[in-house]
Amino acid sequence: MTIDMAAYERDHPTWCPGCGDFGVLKALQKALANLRIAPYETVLVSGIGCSGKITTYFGGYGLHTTHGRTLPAATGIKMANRALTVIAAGGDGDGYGIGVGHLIHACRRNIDVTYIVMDNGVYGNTKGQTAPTSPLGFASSSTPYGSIDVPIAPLALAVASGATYVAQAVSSQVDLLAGLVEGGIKHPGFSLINVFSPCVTYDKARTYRWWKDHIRLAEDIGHDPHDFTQAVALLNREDLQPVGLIFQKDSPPLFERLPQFPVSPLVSLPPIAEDPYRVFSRYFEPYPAYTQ
Amino acid sequence: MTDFTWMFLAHTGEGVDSAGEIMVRSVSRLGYGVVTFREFPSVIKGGMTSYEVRITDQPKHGHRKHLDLVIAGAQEFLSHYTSRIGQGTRVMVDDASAMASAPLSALAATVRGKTHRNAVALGISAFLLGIPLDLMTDEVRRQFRDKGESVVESNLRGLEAGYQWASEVGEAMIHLPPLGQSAPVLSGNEAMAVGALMANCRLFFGYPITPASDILEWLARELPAVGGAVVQAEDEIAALMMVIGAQYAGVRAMTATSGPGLSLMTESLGYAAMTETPAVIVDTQRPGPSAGMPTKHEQGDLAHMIYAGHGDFGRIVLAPIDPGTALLDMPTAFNLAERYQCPVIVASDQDLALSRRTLRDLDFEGVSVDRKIQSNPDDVYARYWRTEGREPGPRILPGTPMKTPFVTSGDEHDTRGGIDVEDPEIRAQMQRSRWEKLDSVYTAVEPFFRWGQGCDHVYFSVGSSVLPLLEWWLALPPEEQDNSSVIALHLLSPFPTQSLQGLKEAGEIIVVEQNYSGQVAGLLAQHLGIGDKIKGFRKYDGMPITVEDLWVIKGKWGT
Repeated sequence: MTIDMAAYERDHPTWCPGCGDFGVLKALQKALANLRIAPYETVLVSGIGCSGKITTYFGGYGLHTTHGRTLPAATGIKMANRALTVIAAGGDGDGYGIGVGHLIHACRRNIDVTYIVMDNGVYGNTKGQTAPTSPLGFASSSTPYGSIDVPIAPLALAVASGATYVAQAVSSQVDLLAGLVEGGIKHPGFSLINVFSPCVTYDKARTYRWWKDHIRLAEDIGHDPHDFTQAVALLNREDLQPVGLIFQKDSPPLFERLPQFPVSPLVSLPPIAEDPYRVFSRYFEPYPAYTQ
Repeated sequence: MTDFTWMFLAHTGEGVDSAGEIMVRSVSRLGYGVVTFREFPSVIKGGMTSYEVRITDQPKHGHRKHLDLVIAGAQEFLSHYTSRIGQGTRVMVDDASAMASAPLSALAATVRGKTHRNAVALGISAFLLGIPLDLMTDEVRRQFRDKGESVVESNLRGLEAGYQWASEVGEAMIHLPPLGQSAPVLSGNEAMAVGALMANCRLFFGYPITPASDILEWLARELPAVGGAVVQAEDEIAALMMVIGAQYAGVRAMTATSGPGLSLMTESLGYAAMTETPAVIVDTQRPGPSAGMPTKHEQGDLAHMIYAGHGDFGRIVLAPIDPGTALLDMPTAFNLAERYQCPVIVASDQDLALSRRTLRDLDFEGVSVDRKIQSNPDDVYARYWRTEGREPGPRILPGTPMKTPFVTSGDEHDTRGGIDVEDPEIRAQMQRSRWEKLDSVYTAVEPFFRWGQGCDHVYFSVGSSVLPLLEWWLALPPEEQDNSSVIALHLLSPFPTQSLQGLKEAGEIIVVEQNYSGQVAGLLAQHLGIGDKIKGFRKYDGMPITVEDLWVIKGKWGT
């Protein structure tokens, strides 16, 4: 079987023409093809929203979950079959709104899953309401007088939660993004890749052009992604949005922290015991009868 | 005939559970059956904890209201048990001013080294129950051996001091000659945990909650050694979603929770149903709504288990009645989840979960691990194909080489998993197939358990409420037994309407359940149209039904 980008294609996306998510899909397909991972060895877990439809346009196995629950589902899959490449993908509403609790704990847990967030700052699929990364004052149908909440800072949140691989790109930077996804897949542990993925329909302010003017490649400004303090400082800069690898550190992934966790995928293990009574009696022998 | 209920109560944190455990092991080794009950507050230190052990040589599994011997650490604790102390109850209080005192503290103080009142109380109990001192010595040694020799020795001195004192001041109340037999003693939680291993469950995801946490804790301890793991999830939403992820990838996984957790899991329950992914969930009921009474007993989630979730979908709900059925229901639940590709909820309750009971005559014959997985799909494989009996065809697991791997979605889909369904016919066909696959569940599991053949009076119950009911019924005069029967509903959902047609012939149906609104009675009325024949006994005070509770209302039923 030839593994190329075409092997990872399926239906033609129904996203709006120009949608940032096209670039994300392309970068993901490119990364997997570059890594020579067969589509059947990959599971893409998505959530709800425009971004959630990515599974149906992707040639690997897909699990299209409920809103915000990509990471728990991906965790279960990876634990059951560690041989699979497990990617989670969703929008900012999915990952930073309804599912933000799972993000924090996935960072702490360091499960070997690559999480790509298509951050467009609006709820596109429900017609453009304010989202967790919408800027303060953002006017939309749900906040006609302007958003009253400051936008979430997902990467700073992830770094503070113990994330071991944190990166960022604009969806139009397909090669940069594909490289970051490859890095995330190879990284032994959890990786979060935030992608500015413009909504061409509901956000006329933060366009591809706008992002181009506001981003800086981290390495171009001398950033050391292995330095926690530098990463926090970079993420706090108000004058620019960094792209590239922001932070990476070595920390034992979940499977190394779990006691005696099998090296072979659990799904391939033989049954715990053929004889159910033997399983039972291993733990619950009758108490020894008392004799005088 | 031996039937004796012993209770020790003291401050929470005073070793009440250790004392109970030693009593359980001692009398079990003599060959007697036990039924235990622990009452504990929702605080960790302080407050009162009681441990009672019903000791019997009969096959009795319910709780008795009547207490035979109560050893209490303080007079004020007794007020909680006034209604359970009657003629023949021997009460001993660690209070010199009490009518019947037992100088637990004073005796403990005379012992060299640090001992506690629980050891002294056990010594007194050993004498009063005629338990050989050397047997209880063994068990005290075993209980405390991990704490070092000096702890063992001082506890043994406390035990001996209590035994000595009791033998000087009075006679034994009963004698427990060795019966030369023994059987394991398990709580429902322990049974479900080991039952999961028998089912080849390798992953458990859960969030701590009373009274289900024992299952999480037991498996957290034991799963690593058999090539599995427990992950404590951030909440119950995540826990069930992790289970679904693991099951989707082909590994048997489960979670266990109580009502508040099941509320959070409701979203994922629907997802498992829509994606037709196997999932096993234990719901250990406690009184609700909201936090309710975390450490107490009720059967108030039955309707929740049967109906929870938005949209119109089916699921399987099994209700074991004791640790033995709970044990065997776990492999059954996993097999059903896989065979029917749907969520399976095992309905437990606080009494079933926490009370320990002697298990005799367990039959492991029918236990098996039945997988339903296909590894060589052809190009026309459709994820939601059905066999001739309308049952789901075997699943393909991710990782299986396939030209076009498929998508599994919570959105409506066609038989191949394709989403963006707008066609009314496809929607209707998928809805039908998800419901119709469950039509044969009642043939795949025992839909109910029945004792007796009479149908003038049918006593109908569910879960641990069956145990006092059955015991009460077995004690009825033979002519009353002849014209009546006891039925325990095992398959709560899908409701086994076909199997229970006989109930339409019953004269009177007395539904015994532990909730206010009559959730089981409601099922019978709804599915069998026999509402006019139903009378109910309902208890909802947080305590399990006792055998005596049923005698009290016997007159009302006119039996």
